[in-house]
Amino acid sequence: MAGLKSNREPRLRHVSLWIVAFCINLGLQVFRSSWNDTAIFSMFTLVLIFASRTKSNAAILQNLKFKYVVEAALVISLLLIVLPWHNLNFGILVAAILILVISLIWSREHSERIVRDKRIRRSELLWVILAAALALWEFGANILGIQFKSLYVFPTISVLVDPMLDSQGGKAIFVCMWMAMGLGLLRLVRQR
Amino acid sequence: MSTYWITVIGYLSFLVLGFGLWFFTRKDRSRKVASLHELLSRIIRYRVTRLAIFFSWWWFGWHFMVNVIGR
Repeated sequence: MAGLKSNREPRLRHVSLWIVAFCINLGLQVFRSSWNDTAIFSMFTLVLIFASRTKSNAAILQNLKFKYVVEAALVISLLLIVLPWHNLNFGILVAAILILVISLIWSREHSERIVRDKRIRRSELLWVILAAALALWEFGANILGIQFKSLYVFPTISVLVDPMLDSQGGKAIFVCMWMAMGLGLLRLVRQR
Repeated sequence: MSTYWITVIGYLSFLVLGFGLWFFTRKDRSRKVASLHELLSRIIRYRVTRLAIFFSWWWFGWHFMVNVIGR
């Protein structure tokens, strides 16, 4: 088939870049003394390293029909909107979502590999530049905020977005957008 | 103009640039740059990339829904 190559695993340098990015993020969590996030990003980094090394291909929920995934997502979204945020039980629910998602995406099976042509490379470059610039801008705001001992002199994204989530409507919009994004990504995984 | 608004305008600029990049490359509109959908479809085939993307998505939700953000 035109534009497709064999089912080869990506070279190690492609894999390592994600691990490097997560290590940098882990360092930033340590820098801002966010110990919960440090634990989370440590776990993420370890899972990525394990995933890059292991040949284990447990496909636990891989064949679950997408309509059941959507139905589960609707029920979970409702719970996320109705239940009070920022407590232990809610944290357990959100952690359960992570375990469910990993079960859905862990499988290593590839169908075909699209050639990394110039169009893809340009797109990669542009999105990476945009993401890196945003990350630097946010990091700069974080550092300056610490230096000026004020969250509002150079506000971070969290400081700007969090007040919008105080109302029930704000929470509902956030949950719907977050879940739609997750489902959209899951659909892409199912299409491969 | 205060530093608060300079910072906010910076974020909004990134939002507009991201929207523009998505809009002008969507559905094969651009012959030179692949759409975000094409890009994600390609990179999500690799397990580490797939996990990294979903970890980022999940943490975004965790950060706002579970973490207590100082303000």
